[in-house]
Amino acid sequence: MNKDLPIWIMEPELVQKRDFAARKLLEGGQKKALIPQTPTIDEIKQGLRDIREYTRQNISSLVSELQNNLGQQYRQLKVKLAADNIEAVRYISETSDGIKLISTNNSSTVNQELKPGLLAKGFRVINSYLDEFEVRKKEILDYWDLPGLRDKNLWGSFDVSIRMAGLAETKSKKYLALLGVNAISAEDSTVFFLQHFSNIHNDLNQANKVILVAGLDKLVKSRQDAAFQTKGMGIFGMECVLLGIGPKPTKTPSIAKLAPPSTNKERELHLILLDNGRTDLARSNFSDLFLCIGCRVCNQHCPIRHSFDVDYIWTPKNYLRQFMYGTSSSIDTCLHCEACRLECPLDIDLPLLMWQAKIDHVKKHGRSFQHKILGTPEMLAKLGTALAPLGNWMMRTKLVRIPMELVTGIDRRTNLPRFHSQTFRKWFKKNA
Amino acid sequence: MPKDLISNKKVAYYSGCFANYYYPEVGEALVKVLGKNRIKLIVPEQSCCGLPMMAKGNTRGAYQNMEHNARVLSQAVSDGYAIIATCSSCSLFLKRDYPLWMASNKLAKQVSQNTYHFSEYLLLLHDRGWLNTEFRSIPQTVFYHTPCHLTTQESGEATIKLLRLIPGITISKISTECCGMGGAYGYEKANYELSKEIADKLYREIKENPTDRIVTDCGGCKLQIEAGTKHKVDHPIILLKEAYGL
Repeated sequence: MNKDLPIWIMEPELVQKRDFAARKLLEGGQKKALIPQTPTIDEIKQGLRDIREYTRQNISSLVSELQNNLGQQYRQLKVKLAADNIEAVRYISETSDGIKLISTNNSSTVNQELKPGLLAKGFRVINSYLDEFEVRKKEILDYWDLPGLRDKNLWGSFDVSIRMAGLAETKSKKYLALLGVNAISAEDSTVFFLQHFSNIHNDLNQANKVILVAGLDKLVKSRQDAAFQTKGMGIFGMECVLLGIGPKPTKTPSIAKLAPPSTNKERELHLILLDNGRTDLARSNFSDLFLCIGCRVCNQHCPIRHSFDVDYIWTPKNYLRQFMYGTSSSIDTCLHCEACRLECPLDIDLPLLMWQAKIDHVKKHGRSFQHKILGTPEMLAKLGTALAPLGNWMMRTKLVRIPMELVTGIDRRTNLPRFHSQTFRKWFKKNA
Repeated sequence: MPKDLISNKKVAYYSGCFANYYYPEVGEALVKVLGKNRIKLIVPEQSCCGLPMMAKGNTRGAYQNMEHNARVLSQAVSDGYAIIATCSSCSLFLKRDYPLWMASNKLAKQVSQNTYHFSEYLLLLHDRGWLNTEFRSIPQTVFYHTPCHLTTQESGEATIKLLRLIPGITISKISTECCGMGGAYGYEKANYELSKEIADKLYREIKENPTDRIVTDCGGCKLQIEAGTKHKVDHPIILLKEAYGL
């Protein structure tokens, strides 16, 4: 028990590589300066799929391996395997020793699964990622302003830039940092973060207590795989980061201003391994969700992405997860445009899983009367055809549209299509 | 390998609901366009593809329809007919979703492998030099809206390529902006405001890029664009019919 937990931070950084290439060039000429060839996007996708598939198939043994490593090696670290979010929040609460100020990174696991419970327990939770924005005006309004980074394949620009061994014994501030990790290696416990700004490194350096949170889906076999997965998240999620950059929300004050210096000299490092339904997920009909690397690219072209007023990055994948958890009552806002399916580097068929979740829900809870009516479109069309042209006239009167809205849920303001007394197929029978 | 049905020059038309009940001009135009190319056309007895039923949780009804259509359309395939659809949602559902929902149904797989969006089919004919290209010029600018359900098909750009074969036509703007309609989604009171909010981006694009014609393959997109812009929207087969002077 003499080592400290390896915490590696990956950043979109070219400087080190440029310096490395320059040094090699000076030392040994052009041949030595050659940087390994960048894999293609398809090769990266296949690599990610292999890593995630291994995790899906071997989640239990990976958890055991990691727990075994963690328990034997690291003097500074305390580990908690939390079955669900309630247990994790209780652990954080017990660990906090009266500290009520929490800084988080932009992790979905932390902000969606743990933050509500922490707020309910009276913690003040600040997403320090947002504090890094020094932007006056939002320049990228939507995906059409994006620079098409995936096509440019940024693989070579992401690399590990910071390697830490546990927490440094520096002067700390009196707050708790709750940081969702991007990957963790079962083989040697290396924790990986992807950092676009400096918030994660700052929190690791200055928070009196640091609690790392690893959803079990973040476990991978080796350090190499963890680096690959984190890098994959970086390149596929880069544009989602650009979409999220805007003027700093005034509601998030800086943790640096709020946290007083800590009198407690001993810094603490904790790691929560959070299940919260993930083991069951890996064995369910929805196990493809387990392949997700959390890059959030599914959010990018989603037409309904703006319609949720939440303080974390909304994604269709998490929309589905919340519905499955029961924290959201509907998935009917999804348009089934299938843009997310096209974007996903792991080819997760989210639209199909949305259908599946809906079918399961209908089996248990039935359908609304309005959906029973709208779920028989051809019967409605036949009825309209039988009543045309009188029906067409009626559909344009308020006298019909108001009660129709009440019964069918069809908004009275919509322009309904016109019915034809002679359908195409009738015409074809007559004329062809 | 699925049998190559393109060379048979025989087509089973899956009109779906929209062309049948709401926009029969599309089906009529297709009949005329295929006639110009000496393609034999049949219209099998069919039901709604099942997509709008699935969307409202009518799984039982959707399965009944899917099984019926799979039976009827696979028979057409066995008789040497390629299946084509003019609605991009129908063609997507037949191609992609039938084998997913009916994994053990061989007929569904057969339908999926032999279904083409109409423009994809006509382009395949063109690739083999079999498409009648005696078009008259249509000196007009076109705003073309790619429906989401065509974007997700591998042949997502087929309609654009087809329209470009018509002399005189300039596709001055191609939009892949979602229209927010999503079948009956945009009709529902619960979604109406959001649907229009999504469509606003497309409406803006149309306003900023005025053209002689607005064209899209999807009936739902057509209705949404017409409601928001007061401009008439045509299905691409209508332009093709015009180009043949029909």
